[in-house]
Amino acid sequence: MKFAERGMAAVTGRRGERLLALATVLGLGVSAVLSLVVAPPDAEQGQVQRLMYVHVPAAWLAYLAFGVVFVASVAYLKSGKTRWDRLGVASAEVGVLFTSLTIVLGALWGKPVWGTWWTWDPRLTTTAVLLLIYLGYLALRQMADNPARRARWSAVVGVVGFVDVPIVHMSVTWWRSLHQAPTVLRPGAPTIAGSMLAALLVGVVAFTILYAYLITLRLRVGRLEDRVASQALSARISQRTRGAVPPAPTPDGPVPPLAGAGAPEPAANGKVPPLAVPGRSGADG
Amino acid sequence: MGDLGYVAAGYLATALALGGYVARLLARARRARRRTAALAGRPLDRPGG
Repeated sequence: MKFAERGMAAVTGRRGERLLALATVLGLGVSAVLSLVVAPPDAEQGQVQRLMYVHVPAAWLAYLAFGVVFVASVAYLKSGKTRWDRLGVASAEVGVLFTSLTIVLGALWGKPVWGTWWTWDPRLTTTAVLLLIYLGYLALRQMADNPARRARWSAVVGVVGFVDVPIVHMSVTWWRSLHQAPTVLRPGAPTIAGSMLAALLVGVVAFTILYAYLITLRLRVGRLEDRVASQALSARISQRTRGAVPPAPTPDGPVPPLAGAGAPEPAANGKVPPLAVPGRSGADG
Repeated sequence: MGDLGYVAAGYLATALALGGYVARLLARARRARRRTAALAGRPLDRPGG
């Protein structure tokens, strides 16, 4: 666990973030050239098959992101450290983005090839359920106002929700499906041409680097927002000890004034009203 | 829409989604940094940090 935390800290530093940004741009550029220029059109599907070079990496990235949510959720439930919760929500957000993208790209491919944007096929249906599970994960976080409870609840959803990932992957094998069977992650050799496989694998690598960059950036945002909440809380506590309590800061609103008008008066019994506390749990990592 | 139209729409949707998400994260980081500096009562020390 300590090793993983140290590794994460090294990669998510500002220098690591800049290197990842550069590698992401390069990787996506090479992937675009291979998939749009070098790879030949498919013998049956024609040009529209080029969407697979984005659709498949996006689906892989969704699996990866939700796998990381699962690991981070287990780690949070074991250690109670806020950094695992922060990693979990960062990865869930990225996973939702890429699951949505997978569905949109699949629909754009499905219309010319299947003749429909959407059908209640097992693969499509389980993917839609996956999206709903992790949208629920993010919605749950908006509902719980206690940071420790919010982290615990979402960690439980992060563990339970991951059950759908292998179901999505195996759905084309377990049930009769319109969606094509796996061509790379299958027993035996891949069933696509070498140049197409190369374009696909470069796309997968490029999207994996992109995932690392997005997570790094999202973690920095999480750290900064936690720091804002922590500083606001400290400022309010120090004001409270002097008898003036500023209004609670909103997540995106302007910085509340630290002193002056607007502070509630102490009650008749001399007690100051309790604070609505934003920010982090006590078990920070 | 021809086949190439679907391909163009897919790549454009991907670029917009990724670009939009990165831009949103950078804006959130900038806003949080400004608020941190304001709460600490000091000017911003470096851009983008």
